[in-house]
Parts: sequence; structure tokens; C-alpha cells
Amino acid sequence: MGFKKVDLDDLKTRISPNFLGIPIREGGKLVEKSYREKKIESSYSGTASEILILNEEFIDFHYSNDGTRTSAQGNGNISIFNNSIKDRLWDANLQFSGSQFNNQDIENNIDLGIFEPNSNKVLKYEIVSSEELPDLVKIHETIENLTEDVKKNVVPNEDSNLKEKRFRNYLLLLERENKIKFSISIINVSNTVLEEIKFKKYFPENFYDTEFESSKSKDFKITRNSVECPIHSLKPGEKAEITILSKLFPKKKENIITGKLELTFTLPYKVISGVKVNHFSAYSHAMHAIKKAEKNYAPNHWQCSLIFENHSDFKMKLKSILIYDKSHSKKILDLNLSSNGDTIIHPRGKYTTTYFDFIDEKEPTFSRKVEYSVDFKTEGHSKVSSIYDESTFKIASVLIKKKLAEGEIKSFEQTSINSRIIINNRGTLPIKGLRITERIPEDFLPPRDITKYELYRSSGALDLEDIELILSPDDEDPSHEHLIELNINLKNDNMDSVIEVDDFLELKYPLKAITPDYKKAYNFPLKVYSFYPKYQESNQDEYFIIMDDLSKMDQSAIKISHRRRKLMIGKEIFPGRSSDEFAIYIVAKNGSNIKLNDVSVTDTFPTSFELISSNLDHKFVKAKKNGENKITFTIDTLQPYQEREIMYYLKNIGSKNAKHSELESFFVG
Amino acid sequence: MNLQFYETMDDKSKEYLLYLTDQIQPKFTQGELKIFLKDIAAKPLEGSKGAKSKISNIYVKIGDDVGKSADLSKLNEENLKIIFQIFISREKNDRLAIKWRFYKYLKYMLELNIKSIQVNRDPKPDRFIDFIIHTEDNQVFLALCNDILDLNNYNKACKEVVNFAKKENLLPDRVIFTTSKSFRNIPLDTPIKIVSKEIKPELFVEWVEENRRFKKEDLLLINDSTLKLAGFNFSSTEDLLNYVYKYTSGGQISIFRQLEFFTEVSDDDPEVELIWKGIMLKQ
Repeated sequence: MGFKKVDLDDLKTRISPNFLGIPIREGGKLVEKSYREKKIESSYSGTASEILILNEEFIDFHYSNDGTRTSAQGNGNISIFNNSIKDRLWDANLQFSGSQFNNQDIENNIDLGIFEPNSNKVLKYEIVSSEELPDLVKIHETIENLTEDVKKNVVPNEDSNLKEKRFRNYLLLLERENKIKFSISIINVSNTVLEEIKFKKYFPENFYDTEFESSKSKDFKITRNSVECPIHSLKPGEKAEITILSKLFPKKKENIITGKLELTFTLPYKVISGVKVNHFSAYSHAMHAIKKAEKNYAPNHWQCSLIFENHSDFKMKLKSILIYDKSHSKKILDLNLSSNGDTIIHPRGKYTTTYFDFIDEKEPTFSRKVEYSVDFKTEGHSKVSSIYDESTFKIASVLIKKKLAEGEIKSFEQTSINSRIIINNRGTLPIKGLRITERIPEDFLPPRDITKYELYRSSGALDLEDIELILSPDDEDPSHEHLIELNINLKNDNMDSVIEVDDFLELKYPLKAITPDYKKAYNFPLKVYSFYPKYQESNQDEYFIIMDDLSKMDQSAIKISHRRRKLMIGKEIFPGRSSDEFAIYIVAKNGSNIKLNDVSVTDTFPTSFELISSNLDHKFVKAKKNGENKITFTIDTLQPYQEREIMYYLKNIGSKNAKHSELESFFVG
Repeated sequence: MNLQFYETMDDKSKEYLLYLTDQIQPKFTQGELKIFLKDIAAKPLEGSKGAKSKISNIYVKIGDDVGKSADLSKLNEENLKIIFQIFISREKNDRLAIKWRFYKYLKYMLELNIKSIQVNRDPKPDRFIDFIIHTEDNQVFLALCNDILDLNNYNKACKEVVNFAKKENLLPDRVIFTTSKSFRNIPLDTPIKIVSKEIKPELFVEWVEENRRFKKEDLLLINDSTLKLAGFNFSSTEDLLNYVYKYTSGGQISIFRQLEFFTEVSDDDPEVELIWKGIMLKQ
């Protein structure tokens, strides 16, 4: 009816059906004796058992996402197994050493006491100076956005950010499907074969349509938020490559992580810290005796020998035999049995020394000391776990708006219109540089002078030094199209960024419409190339370039319409007070919703009439021979839907009576 | 066939049950059996002047009739079945089962020289102090048995210990909690303060060694059969060794097992294995 007293440590940490709740993880300060819960695999074969000293080390490395190791922690368990199913061990003693221990200068000498059959004890130690432990594997992860709209200006060595000491920016395009390729290479940089490798890549939930490929394994284990890839082994210098293709569709501006990496593997037959078991000794069942036989032919002459019998199931290592006479004054036998290799006595085996003679009247007695121990074997391995931090994807998104000051302009008339472009940075990464290209159709002319281009941010106007204008062709011929290219902060790279996150850039410039034709449709294709730095805080000109087309966002077309037809110019002739007098009444009605300038109305009248007066300034051209007089009125402005009246008076100065019909023609207005 | 559950036994005859229960060690005395049967039947003992405790009417001395072994043959099958379930199959794990198995364990608990034991005969289920143990060196231990020890029960029990000590003017030297299972949040490092004395609580759990070198069905032979024990009496090798230490004169000890002695028909050439060999030194 066995009960066992337990202490607080047992209660909190020990795994047992007697305890309810989750155990607290055991800490690893040297030296704590414990028992291994794992069932011991007995190697008992009926005749021989063994002592196994197993040193297992557990090391956790942590790396940041630039590949720098940020922490290393490790501890070890030295487990001593008595695999015999019947033999006990006692007076067990273990010495071990290692440069990584807390008490480095002291050789650790542990008295382990008694081992019951089929039992074990565990010594725990913590590895100090773990930061000096070497890296055993290198992981390079390259993340590429395969979306067509993402280009790169420079194609340098496509090394991973884990190798470079720079933080790389990973871009995602907002409200678009992004195809992401993760290329991961695992290289064994140690001089040992690595086994039982498990690689795990975590994904946030945003990813879908994920595909995997590996040069070393086909056996992917996929869970909701991770993919696990077992790799059997990696030889020194060998590389395993894993490619993961996945898709993402960021619907809003949010932080999406790339997913951390986890790698675990075993280093067989090796402990990383250099901890060594220097000595182990323990006793088990053995018998030693001195056989004494008086010689038949020589009374009082004794032929003696020492016998050592191994009564246990272990192999025994016989180290030395020292025999003195009874008074301990004369050394009779001194055998160092370890000098020429170990002297192993097998289970149930026996060792007998050579005979030695002794003369004594009585049966001789001796003082003897026999040094022996059970034999043992040592094994060791390390289990290493490495975690690589994830990065965060940056969202790249711009919103482009273009406004022409005149939505509609008059056809066949030279007009100056103001073009206004606004670019908003809706992403999570500042835009380092911009290239704005706009195709100006024929009949329009962009300004050739860079000073006509005004660029503003919320912090003020941009310096012209940071702007480069390339106009092609650089002429003032409206018969063909022109291409404006504005490069901002690309040549001199003076600014940290052109548009900060949530900021905007406004571009204004005047555009001349040179007699546009209302029958034509004029489009102004605008493209904005945003340059995002490939690396964070990097001065190198390595960019991701993302092109946004205005046509996808907002049409940039100008409507040319013949709006003067909405200007109604009416003419009415009234007879005057006498039959030779006439009043000409002209009305100009602006039937449109736009302001009309310089409305010109020209009327003609026969030379037989004389202009008396008019209510508006006019220009009068007297007819040449057989011609007609021409009178022109100019209305400076006609506001939308405004009506203006022009009245002028004519008097017949000819001999004939004036006819009304003579005044009804040649009206230009 | 094994002795894991009463219901799975092929032979449930009274003769066989009696044969097995007769092997239970340490054996019940007549007085112990009487108290045990009343306790498991939840019946309070009738008061008797001789057995009445000085401390309280609810505690009676137990085990003071050494040498008067109980006669189990007079028990009915139901009683034998309960004894089987508590001490042999150990399938019963309620508070009473733990209490009486712990009582058996007290008999060979190392470094414990018992002068007298008083057992709580109050059948109320919420009682906590089950045994008051007086030792030869005039110490008093209180033992409180549980099936599952959680923090709530523990705190209640501590209060009862304090109240009991104050009421009876008895300062215990040790307070022992025994249980089948315990939650991990029992504050064993916090002493129980009784008047001006602080006592660190002790926790004993019923320990079953999974891979022990013998089975319930085995007969255990000590040295040259100086002692023969049934395997079901012991739940771990340490438990067995404690018993052997207590009930032998020590010296060189070899323990053998005769496989499945209590469940298989014996043959002429029984299989015997050495399971432990060593020295037990006794002062």
C-alpha cells in the first residue's frame, strides 16, 4: 500500500498521474538529480546488461529577421541508466567537465548513490556562455512579390535579408492579388551530419492557394497556419531548398506578417557545449578471494592467487590489484590492469592472477585492495531548435487624381488650361522617388520651362533641384503628341522621401490648347511610377518600382465642344420714326453654363445707309467700291445664360427708298 | 487473468476471495477489522469505555490488539468483495479506500515508531482528521486522508486542524495529508500556524510504480522463503523494500518472484526470478 512523500518541487514539476494540472517547466541549473520519466529500453539479453550514460543537450537559438542571432540558451541532461533487470549498482560516481559550465574550474564530481535495477537518474546542467556556441545551419529566406506590377530597378545579388545585415522591405499591393514566392534555403554549415530535421514555416491566415516544393522532401504536413517539411538529413555543406508559392489579397491597409521560420534538428553523437563524461564508476555484485594451497612437496610454502568473479550481468572493468602481507609492510603483488587497455570481465566471468608463492607456517593472510567498476558506454546528442523572426509586409498603394481646370474648352481656339495632378500615398511605406509621365496629345502643348511645373506637399513646395523634366520632343509643334516625364528625387536623391505615408504630392502646370478639334477625343494618359526602397534605411539606389495608371483610376480626358452654338445671336429690324430710319436690334444670348469671352458680332449694311449711333462700342469699316459697310461689336464677357442687347440706328442716305430686305443679310454673329 | 478488477475475475467464489484477502499484509487484527467494517458501512462505533479516546468521543484507539489476527472467514461475500476492491485490486479510490490503505502503510512506514493510533469514527463525510498518531518519542501526528486534494479542501482541512488543536489543546508535530491525486497548487511551502507553532504540511501520494519488477499476481519470496508475500500488497519496489525492512531482521536480502502464483494453476517447476538483491542494515 505504497505512499510516497512528495515535496513542493515534485508537486509543481513532476509528471505523474498523481498530480492534476500542468507541470511548471523545470529550470536547468546544475545540478539537480531527477528521474527520467521515459520508459527505459532495456538491453538485457539474458546474459549481459549495460550502464548507459546518455548526454542530451537542448539548445534554442533565436534569430532576428535580418539573420542576426539574438539569443542562445541551452541546457543538458546527463541520464544514467541501469538497464539490468535484476542487478543493483551502488557507490556510483560520475565526473564530467566542460568549458561551458557555471563552475568551469571545478570538475564536477557527483555521488549518485544506489541505482535500483531498471532505473535511472538524471543530472541537469545549464550551458553558460551559450552566445559563443557556433551556428550550425544558415537559413536564407527570399521573399519575392511576383505580381507583374512590381518591378525592380536594380537586380543585385538576390541574397536573402537573413544573410545581409539589412532589413528588407517586402511589398504588397493594396486591393490586388499578390503572388508571393518564398525561397528558403537551409545550409548545414557545421562539420557534422544533421538528422531528423523539421522545418516549419508559419503563415498568417491571409494566405491562400499555397503550393510547396522542396529538393529534399515531398512530405509536407500542412495545417491551417503552418507548413512543416521533414528532411531526413543534411551532410556538412549540403543545402536543402524549399519553395513556397502563395497568394494574398490585402483588402485594407493592415500589417501582414511574412510568418516566422522554425527549424529543429538533431546532432547525433555530439554535444555542442563540449561537456565530457570523464569518469564513471559503480559497483555491482562481484567477489574476490585469494586462493591458498600449500605445496605438496614443500611444507609451509603456499601457492597463492587472487581470483575475481563477476557475479553481475554487467561487464566489469578490473583496474588494479594490490596485495600486501598481513602486516601491510611488504608488497606482494601490484597489478595495474588499466595500463595496457581495459581488463574486462564478462558477466559470470572470472579473472585469476598468476600464482605467487608465500612462506608461512600458518595459512597466510593478506591485505588486499582490488579496484574495479562496472563498465559503461556513453552516448550523446544535441537537439537544436532555431526560430527566425518574421518580417512585416509593407503595403504599397497610391491614389491618383487629375483635374483639368477647364473640363470643357472651346474648339478651334487657343486656350490655356491648368492641369492638376494629386498623388496620395495610401500605403504604409514612404515613397522615395516618383516618375510621372503624361502623354499630351496633338493640338495641346505642355510648358517647356521647368519653372512652370509647381509641386507641393503638405510641408510646402518642392525644390526645383529635385525635379528633372524630360520633354520629348522638346518643341512647340502642336501637330504631334508630347511626352512629359518628371523625375522627382531620382537623380540627386536629396530627400528622404517624396511622399510620406498618408501625405500627398500635388503637381500643377499650365497646358495650352491650340485650336483643339471638337470632333476629336483627347486623352491624357498619365502614369505614375512609385519608387520604394528595397531596404530599410539604405542609401543604395535599389528600388521596387510600382506603376499606377491613371486610366485605371480616373479618366483624364478633356472634352472639346463647340459651345458658341449655344450662343444665340438674334437680329431684329425695326422701322424708325420715319421711313428712312431703321433700328437694328441684335441680342446675344449665352445659353450655356460657361462664361464666354470676346463674343464678336459683325453686321453689314448697304452703303446707302448711314450709321447714326449704337449703344455699344463698335468697329466700323466703310465699304470700298460697290461694297457694304461692316460694323463689328465685341462683347467682352457673357456670363452663363446672360443676354446682352446691341442696338444701332441706320438712316437711308440714298435717293431711293430704303427697303427692309436690304438690311436682312450679311449678318455675322 | 489478473487482479485488476473484481468484475473481471473468473472466480468470484467466497473460497477464492477468502484465500486472496488472507494474503493482505499487514493483517487486520480483530479490533481493526471491526472498526474498518463499521467505517466502510458508515456506521459509528458503539461507545465503549475501554476504547474511548481521552481527546474526544469520536476518536477510538486502533491496532492495540497486536497478535489477535482477525478471522476473515466469518465475513460475508460483500465484505470480502469490498476488502478485495480496496486492498487487492485497489480499484476503489474513494476517500475511505485511501484512508484504510494509508492505515496499512502506517504499519511499516519507515522511521515511525508508533505508540498508538486513534482513528476517527465519525461517519460524517466532511470530517478531515482521520488519524491521530502518537509515537514512542512522544510526538503527535495528524493524518488527513483525501481521494483528490484540491486547494479548497486543503484550506478547509487546515482550518479544521487549527480548530482541533485549539479545542483539544493538542499541538501536533506533523500534519500529513494523504491523497490519491493532488492538484499542483497546494501550498506545501506555507506553514500551518497553530497558536504559536508553525508546521510545514507534508503530502503523501499513493504511488504506483508503473514498471515495477513484480505483478499483483506474483508471490514474493524473501531470501529462502522466510517471508512470503503477495505482490498485490505493494505498489512499488520501494514500498516492498520498506515492508521487508520492517518485517525482517535485515542483512543480505534477496527477493524473488514466483510468477502469477495467485492466478495460475501451479505447476511442478514454478518460474522464479530474482528481482532484488542487497543489504539492509538495521540498528
